[in-house]
Amino acid sequence: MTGKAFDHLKTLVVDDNPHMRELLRSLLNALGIRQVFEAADGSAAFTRLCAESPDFVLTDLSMAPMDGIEFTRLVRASTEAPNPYVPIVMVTGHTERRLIEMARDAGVTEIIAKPITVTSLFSRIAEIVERPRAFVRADAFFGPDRRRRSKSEFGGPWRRHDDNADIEMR
Amino acid sequence: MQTNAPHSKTLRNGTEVIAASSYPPVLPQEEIGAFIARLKSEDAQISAKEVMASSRATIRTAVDGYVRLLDDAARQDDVAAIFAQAHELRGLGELAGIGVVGRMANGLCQYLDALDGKAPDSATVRLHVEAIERVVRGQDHGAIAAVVAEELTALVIRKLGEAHALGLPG
Repeated sequence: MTGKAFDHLKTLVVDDNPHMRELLRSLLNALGIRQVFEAADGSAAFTRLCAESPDFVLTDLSMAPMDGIEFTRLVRASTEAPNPYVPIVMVTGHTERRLIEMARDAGVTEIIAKPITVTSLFSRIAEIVERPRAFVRADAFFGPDRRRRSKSEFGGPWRRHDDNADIEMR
Repeated sequence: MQTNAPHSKTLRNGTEVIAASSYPPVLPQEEIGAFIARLKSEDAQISAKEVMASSRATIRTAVDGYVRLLDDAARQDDVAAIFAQAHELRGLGELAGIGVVGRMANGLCQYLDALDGKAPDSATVRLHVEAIERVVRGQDHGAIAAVVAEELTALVIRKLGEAHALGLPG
């Protein structure tokens, strides 16, 4: 097992179903990730996140009293969050379009549809590690850029009103 | 609020785009290659698949419990509880080795969600619950269970069509 190098990697697993938490913990352990913190809802998760500052988060959507969407909004907006850019992977059985859009608009980084598979989990973890996303801060949104890749050679079509806007670089 | 991150740009409309290099990475650059190699290694894949296999019996027991709760909820016409139990089953069915239960439960969730709070057709709910129970008890399996799942999907489509024809918001 070659996981020793990743002993410092910290993750937070948020799910109200103890079986899912246990399964995700065990799968992360199989990757060599030993520091796996758990919470059963968004409120407890935020407390845990502030205390442990995980490197990434796996969260369910439907939980009470605070669901995964509200938790994500809190992480992105709160001044108490240790890292508002932390990757948040939503693991959800909800396939309803409006809920997926709400999750995206709250600032979720990746979404995995249940039933979870080894391939789906590992590929999303690889994505957040290998290809971290730029973040966008606008009037009503703070979260990962929905455009995963920007191609400098892209010649159009230009659909966004700000695609040709001048930019101020820092 | 502007972040003034070192690698960011501000579009003319005020939207700030913050480069990934401005915030803490999940892993330091020098560890990413080893982590991805670990993630893609045969060792990790085998360990993860062993985790999935060893979880199956425990999750199967949990599924039995959720099916009992689903039956209770259906007998009481408690739509919120029916959705909650079916939602658990759509996430866990496949992990318990009975994917057809997950598909049937997912169909029930989609039916209830599409009704947007309107009362469901009780016979449609009952047929889903009974089909799930028959699979869990081992009375239906294989091709028969698959055909029942397909018929339930067709039933949901037909019932939603009828509901929309009666003026349900789309």
